[in-house]
Amino acid sequence: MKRPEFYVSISPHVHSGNSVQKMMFQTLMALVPVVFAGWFFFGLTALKIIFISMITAVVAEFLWEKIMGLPLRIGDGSSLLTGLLLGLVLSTECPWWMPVLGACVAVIIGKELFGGLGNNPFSSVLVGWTFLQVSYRDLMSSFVVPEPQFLLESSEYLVDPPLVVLKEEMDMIADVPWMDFLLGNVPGEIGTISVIAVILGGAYLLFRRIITWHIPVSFILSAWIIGLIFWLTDPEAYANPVYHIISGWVLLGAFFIATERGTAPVTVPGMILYGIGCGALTIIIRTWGGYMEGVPFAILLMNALTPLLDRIRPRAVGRVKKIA
Amino acid sequence: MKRIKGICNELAEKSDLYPTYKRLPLPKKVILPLGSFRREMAPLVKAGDKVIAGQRIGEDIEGVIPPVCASVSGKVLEVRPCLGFSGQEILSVVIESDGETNTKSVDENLQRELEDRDIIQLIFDAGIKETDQFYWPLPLRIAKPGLTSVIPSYQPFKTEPIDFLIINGMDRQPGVSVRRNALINREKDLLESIPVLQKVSNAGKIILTVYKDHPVPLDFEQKLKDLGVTILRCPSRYPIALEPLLVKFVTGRDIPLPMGNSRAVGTAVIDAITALRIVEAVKEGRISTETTVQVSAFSLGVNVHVTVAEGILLEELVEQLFPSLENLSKAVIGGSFLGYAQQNFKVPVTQEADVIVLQNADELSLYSNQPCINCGFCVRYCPMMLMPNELSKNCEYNRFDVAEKNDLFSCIECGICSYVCPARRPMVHLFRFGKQEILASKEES
Repeated sequence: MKRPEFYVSISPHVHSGNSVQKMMFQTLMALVPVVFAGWFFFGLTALKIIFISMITAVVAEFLWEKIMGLPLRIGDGSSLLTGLLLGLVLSTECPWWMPVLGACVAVIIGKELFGGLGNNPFSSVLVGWTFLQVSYRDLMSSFVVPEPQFLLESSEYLVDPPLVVLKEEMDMIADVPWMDFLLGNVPGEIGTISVIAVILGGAYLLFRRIITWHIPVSFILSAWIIGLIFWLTDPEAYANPVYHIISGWVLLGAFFIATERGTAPVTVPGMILYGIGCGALTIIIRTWGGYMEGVPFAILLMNALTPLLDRIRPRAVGRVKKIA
Repeated sequence: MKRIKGICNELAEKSDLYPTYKRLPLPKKVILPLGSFRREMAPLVKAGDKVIAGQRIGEDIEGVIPPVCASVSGKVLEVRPCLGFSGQEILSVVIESDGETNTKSVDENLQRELEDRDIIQLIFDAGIKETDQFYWPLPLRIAKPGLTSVIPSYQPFKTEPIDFLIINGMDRQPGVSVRRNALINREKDLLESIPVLQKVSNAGKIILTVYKDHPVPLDFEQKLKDLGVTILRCPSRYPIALEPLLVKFVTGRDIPLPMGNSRAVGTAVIDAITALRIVEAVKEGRISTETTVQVSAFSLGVNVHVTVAEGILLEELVEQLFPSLENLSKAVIGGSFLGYAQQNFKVPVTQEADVIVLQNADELSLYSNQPCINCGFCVRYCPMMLMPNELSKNCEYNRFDVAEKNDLFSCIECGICSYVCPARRPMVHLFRFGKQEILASKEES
């Protein structure tokens, strides 16, 4: 584009240089340790699924915008991020067509039908994931035992993912070494199992100020507190709340999925309530519901409440009841 | 002290060029706007009249806003509406300078002991203009209860005492150092202003605010303390120097907006430059005909404080400073956050302008018409605790009633929402548009 020679515009005449691309790129950067952990524990299959998912998401958005005659917005990288996150919440057992289908649903139904980035009421990643989960429950809930590339040894003692163990074989979970939970040496989805990798990424997001602490912290704290209440009532029947947090999904959900632009509230009280709701619903779904992940449906339900939560607005400076 | 949201000054400052000082010769022609677009005045001269510097050329019939005085001696060319730098046409007096430097003679009576009434009258007559926009003109803001009756027909808040008189030594926006330099270079005058202000306002406490990272000399601080002035070091964060936030930070009180009358919470705010002009007016009987503006052209490596006669045309100012200026892409009067980009260089540079920013093509920030992505950055940074994302959408889609209900008029147009917006939306533009539409529809009904 040729720039005109002389400009007149409204104030301000400077900009921070922040842009949608930068934000998306930095979120992608933050996910690098998670992708690395996926490769480390599940090998090239994990990378293949992530790659397919990312490519499909971008192609789907491109085709949709071309067909509908919309301005091309794939450059902002939001589809790339949706694809990557969707790949991270799938199991390595999924056949190649599942990330393709999931990414198409996530991008087109989850995002583009509502008007693109920022206008989708529900987290696009979770729309794609829910579609796959509800349609192909068997494929989605089969997992392999991770085989670390080097240094570590495979965790033979857990064949089912810890989330299933939490529900069905409570006493087994105490046998798993903590280190395996933290590193992610347990069966599960590609990106949800490694606690350390997700926390590294989340810390990067916080450091870069892409997200604020309100949603992740209130999410994790409320999950822990509600889990603690259950555990204190009956330690035999309910799991230790710490296991709920480190056994997968909660951290990835808190840092990366619940904070998706447009689906989360923007005011401080709204964000805290949203996080509390997500955490509480997660434990409730895990304890009494049939879906062991808990987090996706908790976030989707809270997404639906976001417009209401955004009504809790701060008191504007200078808004006084009585004018003296 | 309350926490104020905003952005760090250092982040937004593009350059830390140390300023230089310069004084320009008398301009050939000056344009002096009479009043503002909100309130116009009646001219006291007509085309062809001879005026001398300091002579009163326009005054408010109701006597609310201070009069306007000629800044140069010469001949009145015409009296007609001219474009001001904020983009509105204001009735103005155009004076052609004759190059003489004689000014209106100083009042002989000044030597005697001044009473409060005389001081406030002198301040009024000096025609001091301020950079910030306040609800009341200067004399009304700082006059103690009972004294406001000096100004005819307007006697508001006769009984409201001033608890806090805030002298704002902080520049309004990042990259500006006009007030800071005035504080450092003219500390003696500032010290003289304190007793005058105390006498006029009868303030409970006089507070001088400075940025934390712009230290004041120690002996100066001690002298101020001896006069009973508290020095308050404020965080170096951008919109804290704007009146509602400054009052909130210093006193913890909320000025009721949208009216914005600080006297309602017992506070008066003046800036350091105004304090110095008050000293000139009261001690020397001098009417300030000059103004110091900072001219920043960072691409050229220029950051200069120029002292010029008020009302000089931007054209002439730029020509004198940069005889061969090329690649100018944007000229902003009033600073990069709060200023107005100029399309016509025949606008006067008045005392309301504190800084002129000249940008080349590389420094431009362009807006886009992308939709809002609801990221919430603007809500995170808005110092007025508004929700700019929703307001901008309401204004964009003509839902002005909703915007008004959600405190659109509390917006002080500081521009932080636009500054941090990743989608580069023209937020301030949408807010001004919304405000205009609401005001227009109110006028109709």
